[in-house]
Order: sequence, then structure tokens, then C-alpha cells
Amino acid sequence: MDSTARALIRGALGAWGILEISVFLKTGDRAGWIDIHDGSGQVVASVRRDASPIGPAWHVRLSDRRERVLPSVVTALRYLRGHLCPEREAGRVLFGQGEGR
Amino acid sequence: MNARLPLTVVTGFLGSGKTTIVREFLRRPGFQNTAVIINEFGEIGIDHDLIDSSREDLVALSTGCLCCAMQGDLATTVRRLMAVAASGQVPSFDRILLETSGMADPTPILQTAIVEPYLSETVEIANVVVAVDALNGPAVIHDYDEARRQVALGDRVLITKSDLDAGAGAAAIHAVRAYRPDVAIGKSVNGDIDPELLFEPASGRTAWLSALSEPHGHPHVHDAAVAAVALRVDAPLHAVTLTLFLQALAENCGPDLLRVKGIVAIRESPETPAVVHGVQHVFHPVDWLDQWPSEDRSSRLVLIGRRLDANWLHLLLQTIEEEVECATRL
Repeated sequence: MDSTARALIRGALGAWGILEISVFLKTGDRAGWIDIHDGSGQVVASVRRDASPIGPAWHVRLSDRRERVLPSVVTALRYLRGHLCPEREAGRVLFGQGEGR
Repeated sequence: MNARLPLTVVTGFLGSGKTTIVREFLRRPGFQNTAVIINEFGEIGIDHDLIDSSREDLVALSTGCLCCAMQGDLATTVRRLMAVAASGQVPSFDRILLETSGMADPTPILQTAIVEPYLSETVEIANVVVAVDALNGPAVIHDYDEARRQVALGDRVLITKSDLDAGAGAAAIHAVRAYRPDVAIGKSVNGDIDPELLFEPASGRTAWLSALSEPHGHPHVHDAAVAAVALRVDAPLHAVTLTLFLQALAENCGPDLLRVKGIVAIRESPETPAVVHGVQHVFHPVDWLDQWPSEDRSSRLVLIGRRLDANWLHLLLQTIEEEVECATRL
């Protein structure tokens, strides 16, 4: 089990306010997949992180979609959040104008 | 870059004593060279009459609440102030004090100061000071979203009128701590305060870091409490890591993220740390210090908001940096 990936996913669920209605698979008997349950036993998403020749690969499976492979934790969380809590307001960084450097 | 004028925002609910604080501040020696912008909610402004009507550089905005519809007015007013000072019509000034209306949410005001092109080049947010009435403050914080928003955004809370309260402001402090367990709290009786509480010295752009070490108790914390979490990373970060992390914060924390401040060691520019300052998802262009302000060269970020898990945020930052490092080696 990838404990780092698990902690990242778990923390994200907390930040999105849905950790309390989600349950994790606690064993590593599915080749490193981290399952996210909806609380009633239904797996709504599974996540696995591994290394690829061109860097990290985040595999995300949603219950009704094909697996997607994403190149970073930022994009993986973005994809996951869009399906698990699409109604949640997500900010987009806006930099003010200035002289900068 | 040109030095920007420090802008301090004094906010607080109706009747909390903001105007008294501003009035007494302006009487302090050495602090007269302050331009004051008063934002009153109502057709007829009176607060500016209560301060000192002889001050020519005092400007009153009395046509509405800045946080609602007057954001353009802030830029217009500052521009006008700068113009009349440059022409010699009023004395020059080196700082700006903005007193909000009692019903203002400071967020859009702060965001305007960051995003509006003229303002972002002219001013930098020095401090957000919140006045909380020792007598009415607890009830107001309980009853009004506006009051809670003000407390949530503050760098410092000043308990006012504690001399009139049998508990010397203890209830107000308790009410504030329930929403901001870690905010710096002081007291102000009849507007008497240390001026440094409103304006940090120019060299103090990172003075907020010291807030992390200020002692505070462990009162009952409200479920909707706003807390500050601190992240420290010893090794310099790639510049793109900082950008990706800020984006991840905005995306994942959304409206729960209220403010971000930080000094960051950037690999590509190790001798000149980057200063980050954001209000919710709106960030000021990264500012660069000429040198490190102390021997401590670690990156330090302070995030204020709800449901912020320091361990997760640290892990997220670390993972992003590892992924960027991996990509740069390809």
C-alpha cells in the first residue's frame, strides 16, 4: 500500500468535506489500489500511484468510467474532486497585476 | 520595484470603536503622515467629522459599502490622493489607513487591493486590524456573519471598551478565540493603542511570522473555527512548485481558504526569497525581498482558513516538489 498516496487522498477528502461519508479500504490486497467507498460499501473511486518512465503516474478509476492516468497529484486530485464533489466551489488562482520580476 | 505604501485596513462591526482607534492613532506623534480613507455605509457620512475635519488629506467615502459595490472607488480614491499629494495640494503621506464600514466583509476590499492594477502597484496590505466591542462583541460575533468574516480575516483583533466590561473583555476574547484560536489579540481603551499594531515598520513585511509563536490558550473552538496552520520546508522549492501548490490550495480548499502568507526559498533564486500574499484565491504578484530577513532560510507559509490539515498540506507540497524535481531530471 502506498501510504503517501493514501494520506494525500485522505487529506483531500477531508479538505473537500466528504471524509466523514467516505471509507477507505485498509488493506493492500488489491495491488496498491486505494478504494474510496461511499459509506454503504459501494466503491466510488479507486486510486493508485506508480512510477512511469516519464515520471509519476496517478491511476484513477471511477465507478462508471474508464481508468485515467494523470501525471501529477494536482491533476489527479482535480479529476477526483470533479466527480466526487462536483458542486464544491473550487478557486482558481488569480494573480494581481504588478511589476513582478 | 518601487516601494509601495503600506495599507492597513481597520474593520469591525457597527459601533465597535473603529473610528476612535483611527482618531487616536492620528494624534500620535510621527503618524500624522497617514492618509485615511473612511468607508461609511449610508447617505450621510459622519465618521470623518468625528476624527479631525481640518485634515485636508482625509477622504470620506459615504456612498455605500466598499465590499459590495464600491471596489472601483477605492482605486479612484487612492489615485486622487496620490495626485493631490504629488501636486502639493495636501501634505505627502507614506501610509494609508482604510476604515471599513461596520457591515463590510474585508475580503473583496483586500482582493481589490491585490488585483486592481493601480492599487497593486501602489499599496501593499500591511495589516488587517479588527475592533471587537467587549460588551456587544460576543453577541455580534454569534449573530452576524459579517462580524465573523471580519474576525476571520484579521491579522490582529483589538478588544475595545474593556474598561466598561465587568469581565475586562474576557467574554469577547473567548468569542474571538472560538473562531480564531490563534489570532493575536490586544486591547484598546478609548482608542489608546500602540501605533505599531496598525502599521508594522517597512522592514516588517514578514513580521507575521512571529505570530506563530504568540501564546494562546485552548478555549472551546467553534466548529466553523478559522485557524492558522504553518508549513515549514527547509530545502528551497522550485518556482513552479510554488505555483502548483497555490493552485492546489485554491482548488482543494476553495472557500475554506481565507488567507495565505509566506516567505519561500526558491531554487532558481536562492538569495532573494519570494513573499507570497493571497486573500482566498487571489494573490498579489510574488514580491521578492532583496535578501533574507534573518538567518532562517527555510520556506514558511501561514495559511488561515477552515478545515486546514497541516500534515496533509505539508505532504501535498512535498509531493508536488518531488514530482517537479522528477520532471526536471527527464
